[in-house]
Amino acid sequence: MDKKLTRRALLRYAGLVTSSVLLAACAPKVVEVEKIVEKEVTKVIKEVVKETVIVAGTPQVVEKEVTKIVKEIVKEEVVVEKGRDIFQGDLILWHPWGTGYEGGAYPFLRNSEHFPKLYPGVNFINMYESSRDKYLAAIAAGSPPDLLLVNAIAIPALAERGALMCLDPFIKRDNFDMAQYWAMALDQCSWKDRTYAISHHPDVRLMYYDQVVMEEVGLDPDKEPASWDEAYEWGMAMSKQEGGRYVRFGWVPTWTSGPWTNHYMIANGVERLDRTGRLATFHTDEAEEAMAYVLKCTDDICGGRDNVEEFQEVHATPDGKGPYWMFPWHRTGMLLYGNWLYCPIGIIDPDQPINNGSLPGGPAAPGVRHVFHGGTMVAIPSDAKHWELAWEFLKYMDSQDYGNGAQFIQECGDDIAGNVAEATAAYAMDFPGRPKVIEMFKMAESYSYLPSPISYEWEDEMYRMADRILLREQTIPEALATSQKTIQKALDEFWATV
Amino acid sequence: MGQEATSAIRAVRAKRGRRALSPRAQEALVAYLFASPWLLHLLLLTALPVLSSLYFSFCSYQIVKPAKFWGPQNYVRLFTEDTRFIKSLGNTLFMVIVGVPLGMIFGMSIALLMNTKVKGRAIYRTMYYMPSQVSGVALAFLWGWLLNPQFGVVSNILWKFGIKPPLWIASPKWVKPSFIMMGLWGVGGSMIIWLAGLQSIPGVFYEAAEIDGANRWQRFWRITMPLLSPTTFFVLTTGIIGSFKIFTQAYVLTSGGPADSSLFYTLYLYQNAFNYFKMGYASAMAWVLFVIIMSATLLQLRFARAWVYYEAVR
Repeated sequence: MDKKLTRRALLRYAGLVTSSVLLAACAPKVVEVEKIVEKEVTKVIKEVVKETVIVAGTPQVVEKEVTKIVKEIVKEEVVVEKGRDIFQGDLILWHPWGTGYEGGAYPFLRNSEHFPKLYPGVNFINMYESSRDKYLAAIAAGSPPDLLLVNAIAIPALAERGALMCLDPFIKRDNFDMAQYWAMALDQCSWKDRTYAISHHPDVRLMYYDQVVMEEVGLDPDKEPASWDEAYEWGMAMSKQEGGRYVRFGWVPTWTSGPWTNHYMIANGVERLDRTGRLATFHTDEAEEAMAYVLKCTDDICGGRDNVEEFQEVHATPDGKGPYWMFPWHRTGMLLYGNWLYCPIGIIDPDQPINNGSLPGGPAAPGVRHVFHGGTMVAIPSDAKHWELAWEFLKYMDSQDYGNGAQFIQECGDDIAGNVAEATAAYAMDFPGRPKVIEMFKMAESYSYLPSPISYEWEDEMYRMADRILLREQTIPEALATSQKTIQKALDEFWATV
Repeated sequence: MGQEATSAIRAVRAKRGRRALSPRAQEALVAYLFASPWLLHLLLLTALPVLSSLYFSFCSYQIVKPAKFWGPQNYVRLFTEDTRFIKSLGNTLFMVIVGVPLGMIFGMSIALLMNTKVKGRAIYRTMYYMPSQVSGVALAFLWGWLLNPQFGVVSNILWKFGIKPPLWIASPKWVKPSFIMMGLWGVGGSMIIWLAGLQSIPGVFYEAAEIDGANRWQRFWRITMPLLSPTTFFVLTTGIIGSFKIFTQAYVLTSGGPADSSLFYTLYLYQNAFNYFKMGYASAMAWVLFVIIMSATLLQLRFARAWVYYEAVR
């Protein structure tokens, strides 16, 4: 019989073949298990040696720190899961920055080149622009990445909801040295005394003083204001007008990295939640005092909220608008801002004379100075596929195998290298404010956020409260009462679901 | 002949031991197979999520934890406790009530101009249409600069007339009018629809009216507007639906501020879903929005009988 291949038959067979190919491609792969791997480990050993030197003709014994780089081959037994070699395959990291030098993206670019050299067979996938809604959807779908870069505000929110893997068992098993981190970096990576992430990029909000402006108005450029009253006076002195318009603000207390309502409440000794974390307790006399202070500064030093908004637009610089770009152009005398302000300073005027310090405590909490911390860290989602390999990466991220990773970021306080073209590790380590910034990292104890499962609602409500106060839509007591009610409702709703 | 062919097919199939499908059934099967990718997409990526959101609207669902059924609590909270829900609805209704008519007036006006016999008409049409193709995010950033109180183009025009421009998106009073202005920049899309409507009006009506001594205004009101009513109805309906969904500019430029003055419904929905881990609550908001838009559309359809003129029907 003469069989002709009709169009219908052709389509039928093509569909069958395609389906078979797709099914075959989706089939799980079986790989070998359990093998010994050798890897080259580079150790940087610093030791103090004694040396005899001749000083003015007299031999003297001095101590000198010597750095030795030692490479050795180490044999390790691979811990594998059934049917899978943990040191093979894709290791996927998501972060919210763009490509290239933006934010903390630069170290991850280098990670994607360097990590596979340590673990051949591992394909490190560095996924950028992974926003919160994207990773939440991935977690909900049961297909999260192996590593997730989050910020400090996300840790309590995600950890309390069981979305992150607790790292304590890994830390204990591998004897991972957590003492290498600053106390605040450990604090922000933890929730309820359990560690959920390893610090990648901690940061602080500290005071910046433009010493050129301070000298111009007769202030001692090496001093800091001791109190809020003194800060107010300094702000008034450093503001400048020309032709009836402000050309410089001495101080804009509302220009902080984060909601200012949060920072000044803390600085005036306000406890935002009770010890259980279930009761909002921030509507106090101290909080009202703090808000009133900021309102007074905004009105007196800056001419009011609308003036501040207009100033930002009017004095937009060639590089951009907002306090981030204005400080290097001497448009503000002092500023409470994140340590990453050294990025535009490094780009525009690296030699700008600057002093750094901390925010003095308010009238209700004098004598205490505040540096507010936040930051980013890398966590392993609970349902990550390659969690053992992910943990290997977290250890590597701060190891001395890799000199430009998170450890370096910790040491210099920010990804400053990533934001300055042609920057090298050596350059970034020498940026002018480094010694002071490192000091601020060590003393940072105040949170720039609320460590609570409702941290995001807190953040948004603080911004709203700030608007209501500055726009005079409500009086300060009314604004605090409204916000406390909102936060309490959010707390009650959350804890009712637990 | 047809019967013989059908019998022959049946005979062959019987020999092969298969149940015979009629040619019509076979064709239908092939058609469904070809449409199957789209049908699968509709089922898996549209219908299933929609039905899931209906279920989640009756749950406490924090995205990263499994959903827990708790009845109509989300809806009860929405209507009895949430003042921001009311605020967001009010802000959105402002955009609908003010923005849609303005958009229609501008769109129709430009279409009337484009319908005249002007040299280079095609170029002008393209120029007016192109802004509507700019993505929402790019548009938001662009307008952020255009509305700069000091050196933005819009502010400069006001300065020239001796008017101090407001703070635009930084002002609670002016943030919504700013967004309406941004929306008007994109009326090119509706202009094309108006233009199509205008060009479908037969010229004989205008000729007859001219002969009868009707002036321009009378011709516009007595001929153009009634015959354009189907287009008007379409633009009005889609405009209202689109305005209820305003999101991108507020998300990019203001995050709902200052002081919730630009907190629109879908932005608040998004915040609940992804900022506050309240996907169940956000799902309830989505269904409420669906009911509002459906009701508005049905009302329009109901009242359309009174003022929309379909030439073929009457």
